[in-house]
Amino acid sequence: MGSRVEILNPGGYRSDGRKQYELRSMDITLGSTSSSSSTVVHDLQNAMAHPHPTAPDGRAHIAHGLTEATAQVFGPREAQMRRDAIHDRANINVQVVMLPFSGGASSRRRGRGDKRLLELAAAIKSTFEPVIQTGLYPRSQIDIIVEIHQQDGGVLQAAINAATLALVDAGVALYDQVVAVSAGLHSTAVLLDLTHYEENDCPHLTVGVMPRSGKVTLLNMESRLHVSRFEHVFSVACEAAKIIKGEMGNTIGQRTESLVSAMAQGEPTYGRTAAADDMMDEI
Amino acid sequence: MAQPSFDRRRVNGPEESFPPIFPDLPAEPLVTNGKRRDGRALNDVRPIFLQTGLISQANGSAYIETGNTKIACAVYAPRQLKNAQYSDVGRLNVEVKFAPFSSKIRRAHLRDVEDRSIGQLVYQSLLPAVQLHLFPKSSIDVFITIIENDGLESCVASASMAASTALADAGIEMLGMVVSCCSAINDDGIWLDPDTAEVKASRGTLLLAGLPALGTITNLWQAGQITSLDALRCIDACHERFKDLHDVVIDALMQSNRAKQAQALS
Amino acid sequence: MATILSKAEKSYIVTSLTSSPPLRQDGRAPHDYRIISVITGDEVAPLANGSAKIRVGGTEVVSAVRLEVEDLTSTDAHKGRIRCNVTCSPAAYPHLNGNQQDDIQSDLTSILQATFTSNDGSTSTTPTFLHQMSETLTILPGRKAWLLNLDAVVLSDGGNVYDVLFMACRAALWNTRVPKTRAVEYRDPTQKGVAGEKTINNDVEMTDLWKSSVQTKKATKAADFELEDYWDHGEPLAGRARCPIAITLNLLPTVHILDATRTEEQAVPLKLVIIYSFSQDGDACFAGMRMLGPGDLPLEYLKGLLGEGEKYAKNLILSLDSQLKTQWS
Repeated sequence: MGSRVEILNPGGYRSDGRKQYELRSMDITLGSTSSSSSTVVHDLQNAMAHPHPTAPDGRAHIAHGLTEATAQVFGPREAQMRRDAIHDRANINVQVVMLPFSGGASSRRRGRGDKRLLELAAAIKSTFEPVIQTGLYPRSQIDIIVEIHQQDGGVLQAAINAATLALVDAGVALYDQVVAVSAGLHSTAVLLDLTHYEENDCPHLTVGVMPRSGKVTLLNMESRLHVSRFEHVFSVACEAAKIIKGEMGNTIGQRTESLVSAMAQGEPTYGRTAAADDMMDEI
Repeated sequence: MAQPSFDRRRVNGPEESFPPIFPDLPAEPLVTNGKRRDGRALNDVRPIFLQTGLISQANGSAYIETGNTKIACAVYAPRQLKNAQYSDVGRLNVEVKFAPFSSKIRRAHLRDVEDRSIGQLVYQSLLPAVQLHLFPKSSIDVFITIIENDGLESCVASASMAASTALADAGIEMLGMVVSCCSAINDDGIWLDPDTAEVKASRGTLLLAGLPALGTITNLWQAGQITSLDALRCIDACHERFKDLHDVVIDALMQSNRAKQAQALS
Repeated sequence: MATILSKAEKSYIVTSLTSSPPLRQDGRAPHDYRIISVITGDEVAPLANGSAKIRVGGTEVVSAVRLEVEDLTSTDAHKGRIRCNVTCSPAAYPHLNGNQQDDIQSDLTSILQATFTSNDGSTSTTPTFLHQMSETLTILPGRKAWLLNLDAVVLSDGGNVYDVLFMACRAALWNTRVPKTRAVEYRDPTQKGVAGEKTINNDVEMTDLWKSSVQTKKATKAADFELEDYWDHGEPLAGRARCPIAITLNLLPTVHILDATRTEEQAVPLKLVIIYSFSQDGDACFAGMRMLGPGDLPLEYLKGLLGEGEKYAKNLILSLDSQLKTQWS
C-alpha cells in the first residue's frame, strides 16, 4: 500500500493528531442515566422511571476515544447455582459481549462461547479477584457483565475501567480502584492509549494498576518487545494510569455529590424529575 | 475448531453426496375446478389417521398421519425433577425432532432453530390445557418425532393433536383435548391444511389451536401478509373444522379405551 | 422462565388491574405506553448503514443494519435478502442461565426472521414491503445484491420486549441508506457497435464506456458495479413506511393492557403479540401473530382484539414516524 499513514510523524504527532503521551478524550457516565440526546415520542403526565426488578446494581459507561464499553454489576447476590457458592468468599463471574456492529478487527459474530471473549473475561476476572474484598461476601456471587459497544483499540483497557466504575457504583467493597491503560512502542518512542490502527503496528501492552498502592494486578502483552525497552514503556503506562484515575475519581465524586444532594431533597434517586435530570446532565 | 461437529456416535451419510436430480416436470396446477391436487375441496382437511399406544415404553403415545405428514409422539410423565429448585407447578417440555429422512434434503442430526420454533408452537398450544398445578416438582416430557413432513404448519397442527392425545393416553389431567387447524390464504381463497407446495404459493398462513370442549383458543400463529378481513375469515374457517377434529381425537381415545378393556377381560 | 414474583404479588397486580378503574403500579392508564425515547443514526452505531436505539422504561433495544455484497447463484432468490439476528445481553436476563438466555435469543430471532422473510412463490398481485425492499437491495439483477443484516441487541428487558424490538428494527431500517451503485461493463474495445447499448440495470445510468478496459472474455454481460459516492449519500429503502410494528396485548379476562412492565408481564396469564404492516393509505395488514402464556380465551374476544390492536398500532406508528421524520428528513 502506497498511502501508509505514519504512526508518529517527524513533528511528534500521531495519526489522530495526538502527541506521544496524550490520552484520548474520555467520557464517563455512572449509573443508569438516560442519554440526554434522546427524544421523547410519547409523553406521559406522571411517568416515573421505576427501576425494574432485574435492573443492575451498578452501571458505568466509558468511552476512550472511539472505544466504548458499558459494564453492569449484579450483586453481591445469592449464588444461582449452589455449586458456584464458595463458603468463605464471593464468587466473581465475568461475561463479555461484543455487539455485532461494534466493528473492530473482525466483524463476524461472536457467540457466547467465543474463545476471544472468554479470554477477555478471564483477564478481567483475574484482575479483580485480588481487588474486590470478596471475604466480606461469603457464599454469594458478583456478576460483572461488560458490553463492548464500539472498538477502536484498547478494548481490555476500556472494559476494566468500566468494570471498576460499575463496581464502585454498585457499592462493592474494593481495596483500591483498578485503572487500566495501554501503551505501545514505536521504534524508540512510547505511545499511550493506542488506537486500533496503532495496535496493529506496534508492540503493545495493557497494564492494570492500583494507583494508591502502586500495585499491578494485570499485565497483558501479546506481542514482542525488547527487554531493555520494557521497563520504560511500563513506567510510562503506570504514570498515565494516575491521570485516568484522577478523571475517574472526579466523576465518582460528582456522582456521589449529586446523589447526596438528591437524598437531601427527599427525592428518590431514580426519580426522573427535572431537577434530578439537570444534575445528571452536569456529570 | 478445525473439525466441524462430526458426530461419531451415529452412522453418518457418505462424505460426498449429491441429491438426485429430477427432471423438471410441468407444474401441476394447485387447484382445478375447485378441487385440490388430492381431490379435496378448498376447505377440507386431509384424512386423518390417529392411534394411541404405539410406543410401548412410553406412558402414553400417539401416531398421527394426515396425508403425507407422519408424526409419532411419546409422553413420559409425570417424572420427578431431580436437582431442581422446588416449584409448585409442573414443567411441560416439548421437544420436536425431524427424522433425517423427513424432508427432501437430508436433515443433520443436530438440533436446529426450526426444531425449537416448532416445539414452542406445540408447547403454546398444549400449555393452557394441561393442569400443571396438579404436578408440583415434576416434569411432563413430550417428545415428537416428525417422520415425514409435508407442510410445516400442518406438522404443528398434527403434532399438537397427537400430543394432546398422547397426554390423555398417559393419564395426564387436562381441561380438554387440544385440536389445531391451519390454513393458507391465496388469491383463490382460503385453503385448509395446506401441504408444502400450497404453503409456498400462498400469501400467508395462519394456525389456530383450541379446546373445543371449552370453546376457547389456546394458540394463534400467523406468518406472511394477510389483511384483517382475510385473517378473520381464516380464523373462522379453521374454527369450523374444530368440531370434526375433536371427534377424530375422541374417537381414537375411545377405541384405545375399548381395546384396553378387551385386553383386561381376556 | 424462572419466576421472580410470588403468588401474592401476582394476585395483587391482577386484582388491581381488574378493578374498576384499572390501576397500574406506575399510575398509567391500561392503554398508555411508557415514555419512548428514540435515537437514530451515527450516534448509535457509526459503523452501520443504519441504526437506532429505542428505550421504553427499563427496556432498551439497539438495532443496526449492515449491508454486504452477496453473489447470487441460480439456486438463491434473485433479489436481496434480509438476515435477522437478535442478541440478548446477559445483563438483560441476569436471573437466567446461559441456555435459557440462548432460548430467548432464538425465539426473538425466529419471530423477527419470520416477519422479514418473503415468500417468493407467492403469486399475489400486491407486492409486500419485503418485495419493495429487495428491489432497492438489488445491485445487478440475478448476479449481485446487498445482503441486509438486521442485528438487534436487547440491552435490558424491563418488559414489552417485542414491541420495542420491532420499533427499533423499524427505526433502523428507516435510517438505512443503501449506497448508490452503477453498473460497469467490461467490453472488448474493438466491438464499437455495441457502445451505446443500455446496461442491464435500469435505475442507474450507464457509465461511459471504459476505453482502457481490460480485454475480458467474450461474454457481453461480464458486469460489475462501482459505488457512485460515499456511504452516507445512499437512497432510503423502498417500502420502509410499510415496515411492520408489533403490539403486545397483555390479556386478562376483562381487560387488556399495553406496554406491560416486567412485573406485570409475569402476572398476566396470556400475551398476544400482533405484528401489523400499514400501507401508504393506512390499510392494516397482519404480518405475524403469536400467543404466549398459559391462559386461553374465547374466539369472539380474540377477534375483537385483532381490531383493537390495529388502533393502537396506528397510533404508535404515527408517533414513531413523526419522530423519525424530524430526526432524519
